[in-house]
Amino acid sequence: MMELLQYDFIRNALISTVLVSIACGIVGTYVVTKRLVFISGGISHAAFGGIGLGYLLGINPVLMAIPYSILSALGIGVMSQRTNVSEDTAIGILWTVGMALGIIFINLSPGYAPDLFSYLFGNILTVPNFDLLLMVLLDCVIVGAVALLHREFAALSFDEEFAQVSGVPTRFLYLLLLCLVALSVIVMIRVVGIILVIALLTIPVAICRQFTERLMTLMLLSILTGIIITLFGLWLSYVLDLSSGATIILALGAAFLLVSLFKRTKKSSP
Amino acid sequence: MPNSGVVSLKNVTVVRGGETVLEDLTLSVDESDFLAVIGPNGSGKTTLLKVILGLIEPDAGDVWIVGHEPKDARMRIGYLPQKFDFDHSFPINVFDVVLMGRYSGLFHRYTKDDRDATEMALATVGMSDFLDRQIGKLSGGQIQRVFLARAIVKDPRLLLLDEPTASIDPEMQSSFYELINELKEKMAVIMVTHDIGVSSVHVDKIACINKKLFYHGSVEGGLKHIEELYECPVEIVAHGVPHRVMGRHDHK
Repeated sequence: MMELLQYDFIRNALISTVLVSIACGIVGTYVVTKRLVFISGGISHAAFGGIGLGYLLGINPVLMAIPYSILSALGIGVMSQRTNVSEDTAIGILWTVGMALGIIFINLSPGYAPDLFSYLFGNILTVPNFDLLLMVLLDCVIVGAVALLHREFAALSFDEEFAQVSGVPTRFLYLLLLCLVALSVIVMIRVVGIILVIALLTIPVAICRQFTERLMTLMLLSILTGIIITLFGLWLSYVLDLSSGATIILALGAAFLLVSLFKRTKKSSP
Repeated sequence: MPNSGVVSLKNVTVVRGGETVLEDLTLSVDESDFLAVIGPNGSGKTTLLKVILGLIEPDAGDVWIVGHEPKDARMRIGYLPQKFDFDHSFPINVFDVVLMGRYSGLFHRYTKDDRDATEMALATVGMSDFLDRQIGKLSGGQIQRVFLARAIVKDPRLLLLDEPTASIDPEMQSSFYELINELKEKMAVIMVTHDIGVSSVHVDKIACINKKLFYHGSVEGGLKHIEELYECPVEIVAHGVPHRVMGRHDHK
């Protein structure tokens, strides 16, 4: 195992595991407790439009996906706050339009898009140094925002009406939270891909909320759980020679199932 | 110019989707008043609360809360919502729920004062033994007490109660009203309700609204007029306890 660490791609894989788990543990806590799972799915899929645009313009697709996914997050949020379009309809529209745009952009780009598949399903073993740096930056933004605004985010997630009455700028913070979801999606794209992002945002938190009743503890536990299970999934994919993103998700799913069953049998036994 | 008193509404009209929800409503509440706002479903009671809270801007008329516009007076208003519409498995304990009531602006940390006030408020509502309890693991009446503590934790001048008895057992109601009567010494209380039977025993004044204000004054005077005001009212207004209303107040 030690000689494996000498390879750059293994080292990058380990670092990105930690970076992804930090983003997922923090943002995922709000995604699960405020029930933003579907909206996060919309934001992550819409980000594919940004990937395609990156190909078309010859810009790093992950970099291009940042403004694109933030704009789609704001689009979903503003559409559901300001117009008569209900939130799930807004999500459905941006989700599919984003993906369709991505495909058209790639059609229009010259040549062939060889690593397109890795944006959809991720490949933790091919994270380039530049993208790793980007992930560090985005993690800093996420951690910083939550460190400054965790009181507001907690109030917003628990009881939005009361938060508004107490003077919390709920509309602004809701949009900001969606932007943090967008940024965490970007952090994850290289590792698990657009289609599997939701699993990393939800499953570690879903596992850990069975063990804690504090929001902050839930974040920290989820980060830790994310790291451990993602590493296990990565190792498993290496041993069994399977796709890393999918194996990580299956490991997370299996862990959730085991923990839930364990909790249930413990509860039913006297 | 802002009027004196805790709440002052003058000729307030609210139109929503082309329909008039409140029409030319004038109402005032003074210190230590306990006012019940009574009206059938769809009479604009909840809209009135939202106007006072600054969540709805009236289309006409003036609203002053302790001498401020409603939006600027939010720090002075404690609010107990009707529905405890939250995720009961939300990872938060009783103490932190009440502490949220001390929110005072972006980037303000909760201080020792905030924590002390939280403990005091929980003591006032008799929930000191449950500080560490996850909020969903309480009964309906206990949750209401915690939310009441959250409403009073910042020492508001005005306490708004939206159908407070709808979500608790009848046995809990009298102790709830006892508590409100203690709080009334420190703050004005407005309670929106359709339960005229119980409220008439505990409140000082009533206001009957059905889009317009029909009556505003003492409890006895209001009950005398109740049938004319609502035409076929007692069943609508006080369903569940009509006998009690009839029995106590011989208004025919």
